[in-house]
Amino acid sequence: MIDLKNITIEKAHKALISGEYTVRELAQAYLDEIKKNGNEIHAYLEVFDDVLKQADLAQKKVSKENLLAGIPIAIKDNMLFEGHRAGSASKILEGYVAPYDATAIKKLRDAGVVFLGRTNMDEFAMGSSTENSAYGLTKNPIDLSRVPGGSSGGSAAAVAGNLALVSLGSDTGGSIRQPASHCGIVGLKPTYGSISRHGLMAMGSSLDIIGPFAKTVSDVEILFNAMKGKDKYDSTSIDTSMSGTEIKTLGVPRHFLKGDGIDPDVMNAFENSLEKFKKLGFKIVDIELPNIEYSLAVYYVLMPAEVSTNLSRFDGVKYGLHREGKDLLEDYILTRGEGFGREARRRIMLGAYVLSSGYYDAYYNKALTVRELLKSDFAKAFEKVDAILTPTAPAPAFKIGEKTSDPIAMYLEDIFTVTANLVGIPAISIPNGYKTIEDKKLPTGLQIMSSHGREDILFVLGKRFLNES
Amino acid sequence: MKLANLSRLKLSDEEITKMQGDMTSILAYVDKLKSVSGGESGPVMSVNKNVFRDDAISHEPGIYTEKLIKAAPKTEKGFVKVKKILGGSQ
Repeated sequence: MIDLKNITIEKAHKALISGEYTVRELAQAYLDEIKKNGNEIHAYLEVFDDVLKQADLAQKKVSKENLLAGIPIAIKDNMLFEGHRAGSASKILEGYVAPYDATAIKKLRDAGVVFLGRTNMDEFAMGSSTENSAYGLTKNPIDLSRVPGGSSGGSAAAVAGNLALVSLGSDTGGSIRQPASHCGIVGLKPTYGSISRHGLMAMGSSLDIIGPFAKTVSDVEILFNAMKGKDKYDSTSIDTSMSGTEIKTLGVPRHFLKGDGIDPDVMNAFENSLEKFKKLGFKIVDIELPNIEYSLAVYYVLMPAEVSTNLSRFDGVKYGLHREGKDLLEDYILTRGEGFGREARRRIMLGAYVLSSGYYDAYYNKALTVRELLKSDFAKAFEKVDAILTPTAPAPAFKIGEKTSDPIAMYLEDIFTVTANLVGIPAISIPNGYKTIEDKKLPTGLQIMSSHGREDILFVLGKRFLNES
Repeated sequence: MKLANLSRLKLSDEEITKMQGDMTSILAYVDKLKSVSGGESGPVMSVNKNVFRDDAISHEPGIYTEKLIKAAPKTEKGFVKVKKILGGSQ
């Protein structure tokens, strides 16, 4: 019996090397667990039918040098894995089969990772609860009456529910960190461009990034290092070089944490985390990020603008759903009206609005200006501090259905996370305390941000904080 | 309504009403940007350059054709089938 609850990449690797179990046995353990407990959580849209075949191939790659061979992973439904369905949890991609591998997938595949299946998500990664999926919702494994967060809710729930050892998500405004926080696991949004977006379905191209979920910071680090690097198929991808200066000072933007929208227990957990860092020998200082309160507004102009552009490719001609009209225009309108869910339609229209000639300057251009101000705010802050700390989300996971009728309430879930995407810096969410409601211990998360290419700082701080070494 | 058409989306009357309400509240929220003064609009592509593929044959012709055509909902004899674009109902 493999202990799926406490397994890590390193533990599995050792067991595979020593022959304690085989790749096939490990994969089978997850398949059994998914069969037994997976239906209720509904983390997966599909468990691939070739998992054991993949496992047998991966067995040959098991070696002391290759930590990832045989590691079972779940992937978000918006990344391409050749020959397998991929659909961004949208009806408009009904029947679509990936014709090639995303670069991140290819790298993991070459290492011998075993892909268990594709996970549920908010349609085209738009949402903070996974309730915007066209294929039903995913439940939080810690409290089945609550959402797992989103948009990568299926990937977070898969790891938290022991239905995958690790998983991949994508993060445009918080879609890895917020579900990691709500499910009590670790989630990394890497530096913009550090992992290729080739083969990741585009949402907001200047914001999107692929990143890992795991139960430990070490596992997240292993996956990040395996996927990163410049890629000729993504001109915005970069090689990030990390240099190891000593980490001394951590900054807290106190002025941004005073709003009444933050749950008092989340704030308590956050204060406790600061005490812990002090005890670990770090200096905590107040910092000013003068424009951070505008982040969410900037995000809700730029992101829909990019969404409306990116989603114009779904026209019923090239792939997926097709609805027949009297002419081509009516084909478009019928296909898109039926194929896209409500949130996707809302953001496409919002994007079209802020990009329209009459409003372009007032909204889109203004948002670009404030984005530049934000970048310079952070550049200045990182002259004084090595990392910046905030809670990941303003409150623990909410009840299913609680925020579906109020888009602004849902958008506020991302208040602390969107800034890292706008600025392009890396950020990690690590478990930090609980809020007990109805006898359920709901996890809260701590977000650590560092400057471009300095994921190493996040890993060091995260491991110290969680007592990993 | 006009916006829905420009966005190439068919919406029901009921949804148009709801969408108008949502859009008004979202735009009211993002309006706070107007109170920010100073700053300059950064060049969006400042750090990025256009990257072109080498002007050479990158792969054997036709090796991806079948896979990509298969993804399209309507095809005929190895082509993607599209309704006529010019001289239609407009």
